Amino acid sequence: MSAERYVRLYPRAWRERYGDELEAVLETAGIGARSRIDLLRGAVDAHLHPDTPSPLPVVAALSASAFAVAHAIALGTEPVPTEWPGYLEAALPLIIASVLALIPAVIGLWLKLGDADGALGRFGVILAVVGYGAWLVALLAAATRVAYGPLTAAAATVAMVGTAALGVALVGRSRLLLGALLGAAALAGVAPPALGWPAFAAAWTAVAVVVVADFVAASDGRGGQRVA
Amino acid sequence: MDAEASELPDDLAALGRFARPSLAILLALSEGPKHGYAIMAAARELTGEPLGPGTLYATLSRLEERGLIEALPADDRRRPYRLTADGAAVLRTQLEGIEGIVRAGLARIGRSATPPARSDTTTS
Repeated sequence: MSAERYVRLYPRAWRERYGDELEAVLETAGIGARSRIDLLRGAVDAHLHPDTPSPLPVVAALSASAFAVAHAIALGTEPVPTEWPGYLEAALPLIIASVLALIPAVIGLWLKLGDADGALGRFGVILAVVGYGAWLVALLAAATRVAYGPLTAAAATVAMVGTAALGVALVGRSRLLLGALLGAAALAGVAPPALGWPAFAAAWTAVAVVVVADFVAASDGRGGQRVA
Repeated sequence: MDAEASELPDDLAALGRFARPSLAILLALSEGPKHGYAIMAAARELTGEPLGPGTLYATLSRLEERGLIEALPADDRRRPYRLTADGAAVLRTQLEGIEGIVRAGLARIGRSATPPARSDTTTS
């Protein structure tokens, strides 16, 4: 792969600022095996840390909380008790949409830890993404009547352990409210459904409010700060 | 906290895995303005560790954003960077911190310089 192609892996705004320089460096230094891996890591880093805050994690957190609230309301208005087999079926699309949105949302929360995210932060986000991903697959399997069983609960539990670890890491970085809310969401996620789903929806709604407030503050505070 | 960042003062420790490359880049620029490739070469010479191009630019953008270095007008496609006053101050703090650790460590070794008795020499 040529130097130009590696540079194209970076976001457009980044390329406009550093693209020519990086290309010149690669043409002079050559691109060895270590450099290839380093460039890929650099490109991922540039996408994760854009110059201006990305609205994607905010939209994801808002969507996740909205679908979780709708799911909790749908379950609350079900005419059958939660122990009734198949009671979840009608509300499955709502929780599927919520879990799907939670994947970019937790990545956005991990990014709040900054570069010094620490082992706990990395452990938390990896576990959460794997857990929410597995939970999503299990829910899709249930929705398509392929299978519904212990995998759903196991995947959700993994996601909640990851979410809790991320919460603890955020508390360690003085993000007490956000960390506590993630801890509450994680506890709600493993609680019995009748109490757990409304609490899960409430915790993620509160997380979304904090994320929106952070985004507004970051957008206001960045006007003209970047050195061009 | 990461072990790799724990020995560095707060300013660069907050950069996590970019703390060491940051120190190498600040050191490289302490000799005068340099462009990307020259920074890589100087950093390798100073630290003995290779600095990859992806890490170089990820670190340069962070240092620039924090006002520790600044970009000069580009010469063709090569843009030189130089240390700012804040960057020089942070570099000094970092080096003094490391110097303090080295001095304390050497003193400690000196105080307990007697090597432990070797078990294979006890029979003679």
